[in-house]
Amino acid sequence: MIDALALPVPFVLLAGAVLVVATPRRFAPLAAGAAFLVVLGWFLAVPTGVGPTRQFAGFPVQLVAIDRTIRAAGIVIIAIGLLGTCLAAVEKDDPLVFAGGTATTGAALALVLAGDWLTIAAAWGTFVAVGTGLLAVRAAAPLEAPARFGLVHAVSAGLVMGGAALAVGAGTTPGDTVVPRVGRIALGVAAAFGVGVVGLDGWLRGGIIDASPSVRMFLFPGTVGAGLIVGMVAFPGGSVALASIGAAAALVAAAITITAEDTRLVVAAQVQVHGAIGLVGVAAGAPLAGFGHVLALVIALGLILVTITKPVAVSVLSPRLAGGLVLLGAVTAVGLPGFPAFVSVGIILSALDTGPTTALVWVVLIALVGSMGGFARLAVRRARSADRSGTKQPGRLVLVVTLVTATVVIGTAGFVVIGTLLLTTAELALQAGLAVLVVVLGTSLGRAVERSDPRADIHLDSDWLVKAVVVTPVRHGADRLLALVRWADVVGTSFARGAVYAARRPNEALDSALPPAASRWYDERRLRTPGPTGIKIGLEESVYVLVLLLTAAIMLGWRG
Amino acid sequence: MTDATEVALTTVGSVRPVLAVAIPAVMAAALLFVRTGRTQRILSTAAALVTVIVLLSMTVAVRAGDIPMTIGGEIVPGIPLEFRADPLGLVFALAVATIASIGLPMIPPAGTKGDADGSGRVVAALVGALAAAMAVAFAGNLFLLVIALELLTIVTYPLVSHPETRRARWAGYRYLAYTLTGGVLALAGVRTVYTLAGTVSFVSGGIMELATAEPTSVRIAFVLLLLGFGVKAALVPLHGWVLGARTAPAPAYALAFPVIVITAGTFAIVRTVLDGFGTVLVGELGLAWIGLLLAAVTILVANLLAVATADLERRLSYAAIAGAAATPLGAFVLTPIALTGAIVHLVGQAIGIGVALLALSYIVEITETSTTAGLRGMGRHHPAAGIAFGVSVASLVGLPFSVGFVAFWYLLVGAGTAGHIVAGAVLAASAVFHVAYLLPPLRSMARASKPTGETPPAHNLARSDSEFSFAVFTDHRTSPLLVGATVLLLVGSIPDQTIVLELGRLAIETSTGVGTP
Repeated sequence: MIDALALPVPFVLLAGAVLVVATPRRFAPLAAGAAFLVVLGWFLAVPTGVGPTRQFAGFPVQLVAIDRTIRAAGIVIIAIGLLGTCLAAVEKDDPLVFAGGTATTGAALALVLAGDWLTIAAAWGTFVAVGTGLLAVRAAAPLEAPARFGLVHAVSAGLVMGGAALAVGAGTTPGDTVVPRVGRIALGVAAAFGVGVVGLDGWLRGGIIDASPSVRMFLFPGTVGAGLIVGMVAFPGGSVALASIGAAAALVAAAITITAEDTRLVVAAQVQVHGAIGLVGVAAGAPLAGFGHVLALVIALGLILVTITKPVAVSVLSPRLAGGLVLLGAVTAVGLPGFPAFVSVGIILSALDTGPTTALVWVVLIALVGSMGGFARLAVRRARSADRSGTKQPGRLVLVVTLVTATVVIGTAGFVVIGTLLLTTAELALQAGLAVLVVVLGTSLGRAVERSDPRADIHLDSDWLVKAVVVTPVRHGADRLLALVRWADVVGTSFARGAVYAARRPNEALDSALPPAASRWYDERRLRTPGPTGIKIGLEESVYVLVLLLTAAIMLGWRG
Repeated sequence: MTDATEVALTTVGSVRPVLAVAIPAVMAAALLFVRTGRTQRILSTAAALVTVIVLLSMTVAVRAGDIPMTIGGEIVPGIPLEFRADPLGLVFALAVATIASIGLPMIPPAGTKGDADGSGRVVAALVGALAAAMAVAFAGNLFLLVIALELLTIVTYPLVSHPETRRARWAGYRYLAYTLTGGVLALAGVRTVYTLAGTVSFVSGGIMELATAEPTSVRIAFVLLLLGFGVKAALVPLHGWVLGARTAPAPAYALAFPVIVITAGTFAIVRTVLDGFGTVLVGELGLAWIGLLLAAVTILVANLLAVATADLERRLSYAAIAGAAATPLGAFVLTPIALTGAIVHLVGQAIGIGVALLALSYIVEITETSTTAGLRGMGRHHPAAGIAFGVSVASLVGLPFSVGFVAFWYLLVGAGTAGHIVAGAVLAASAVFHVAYLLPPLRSMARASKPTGETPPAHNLARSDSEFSFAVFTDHRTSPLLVGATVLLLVGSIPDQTIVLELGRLAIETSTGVGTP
């Protein structure tokens, strides 16, 4: 008998991706879909356990380690892949999109199933590489989107690899609670990158936002799921700090989703809200609920993305139907009783209500109100949009029916089976009351913001905050450093010329050392270029930061 | 993680280490008298391939537990002329000979644009550089190592001043000034070691007499050697010669300087740490911090310069400087895992940056522009160069299934084991920088050509966007690049079945007496 655990199942999807490229164009959806169904069957049938240990570069690797949580996470990832494939089929996407999506999902599954740190690092790296490739296929902004995704996630991949290497160096395996602190921090930050915590979300708002619906489906929740996995293996017992970061991120993203005017930004921020709530679940010691919430997010996202088409994201269904589907997505994600997120939100709130994280319950609830408000605004806009449903698209309607059915079935089954088993009647009643309150308050808030006078300019665009607090100082600092380095290089490569010139005319030397693009950047913003005074200020700032960090380190050490 | 293993390698007399040096050396001399491009290409490629075969035969011997060694009298009293093909030397030699086999067929033949006077001295100098690199690899003592490195300087100097312009001559002088000064420093270091220990022969685990010598003098000797070899390894701020050497014809520059010379410098540092002073002594005398600092500064500064450089050939030159410094960084972490990573990285970096630069120089020769925008569509027109460039970038970045990933993993685990968090962070930052400046040209290469107007001249294009033919893979100038790409992928995908990791482990086990995973 074949040992199912010995089958390195992510490679089935990678092989599927190759098959998709090799088969004729019209068979691409079938090949991709078949690969997903095979893997789904494996996930449903395989027993709990650990696959054989193999050797890679002298290190033991376990490609398959499956338990209850991993099985659930795997099914969520496969759902993302299947839905992305369906959207790509409806959109008649390039075969490379099918292949890229299949490979991306395969890499995410490798991450889910990984039983050792080396596989986790390799899977994350592969996910980033194929995700970047997927974004590069027929992207609206051909160079910028994949470059942003690749660059931001190069940082996250570096963090995962570094954290994993530290964990291996300490002789631990995933799930151990004794991973070195620096390693855990690195992995925690990587998880925050994955779920798109505001400030670490350059891949999401600058990268995927312009991609086609199918690519967004593959990469939005896929990256969030990958982030949750890393968070789970880094903090198997949960983490108050990570839960707090997740809750705060959900709150900020909710503020964006309710105030942003750009509908693409609204959708991206919704992913951030619910990804962060999933992270809260993982950090609160309820990873199953965290992944359950990502499943609700996947369905909600599907209901929104099925209403639009590429490349300009116009609605292709009748306005009322589109608005209705967005509202259905809203109640799916915020967890009205009988809808998918009801149970996951309930379990996450229950987990938070114990120990030092009680205050976070309110933060998550406020974030859910904001999310509902954002959904409500989006639904109103969809319902008011011009009717572009002239073209008959039976495939799209079939997908709509499937998604609605999935919403009802998963929501009802979750409520009846899981909810009644895991939550007491009192908890169910409280959760139902809170969910209704969230929906009512959120809808009212959304309508109020939508009706406000746009001329009053009260709409908060969080971009200004990010630019003011993060982008400008970082850019300024980086350019100062770069100017200094280039100057040093001039001195180093042509010492006599460079040193004499720089000594006589330090300002000119530094200005000339600044790259043209940076000079333009400063001119456009009427900022002073970083001359010697600027460097002095920069150094002082660095000293302040260093003193601050040292103080924090001493305090932490003293506490420890 | 690590466990003590008994490594039983015995030295056996053999002529093969000298053969590996002599074959390319004789061929280089012969090439000076060959005037036809085709014959030059055949002879130079044959020299590299035969060298590879000799190296592989020695690899078989090493795997069987023998270290082939040639001893031929004394160079100066007390210092023997000894060539030793131990695992460390073999890894470096194989990397250089492999990339030479790939690069030599790509060198423009006599009488064409890249060879100004038609003498074929470019090819002769490159084959001579291969011979000098083999001498570096198998040098059995510090003195011979320094001499071999100086020979490398001398045979590569004609490449820098080859165009015979005023600028090229100045670049040549500067190259000599840097590298010969480095050589003098290294020689002073060798003299100090000889005074302290009475021998300069490499010994597994380091020269024992140095452990009982006066510590300050040992430190001075080490710093002199580090600075001397650091010039060849292009450690910042000793890197000034690298960019100046770009006066050499593009493919020759790619092969000789970022690959052979810089890798030889990093190899010399690793050799000095492992078999000159020994990891224990380097750690005890607090010398590792100097090396770590120099390597970390090199990685960060060179990467920053690469980000700020629009010219792709310059950018890749800085990438070569930054990437090569990861080898000494790993060596100075001093743990067996990090040292193994340093050796694997040495191979991956040499082949990876070599293939990337050769592919780029081929495309730049066609497009006559070295900017990201200028590469647009070139990957589709020249798929072999495009694929090779993509794979080499993946390896330089450290993506899974490439040799770069295996090297980075070893380096990071080694740094983590030793508690060198900063070293790990510098390596991770280096990978991010590589993505930042290598992803845009790669993406540009993979895109379709501009629809109208600015398409490069038709005679330059091998294929149109839509056409595809396997004939492009049989082009003698680009198809060797695919061999390099395959090596990068094979070693990265099945590292346990390749000789790179095996020789790396053997080298570390031999020198430190501790096994690695």
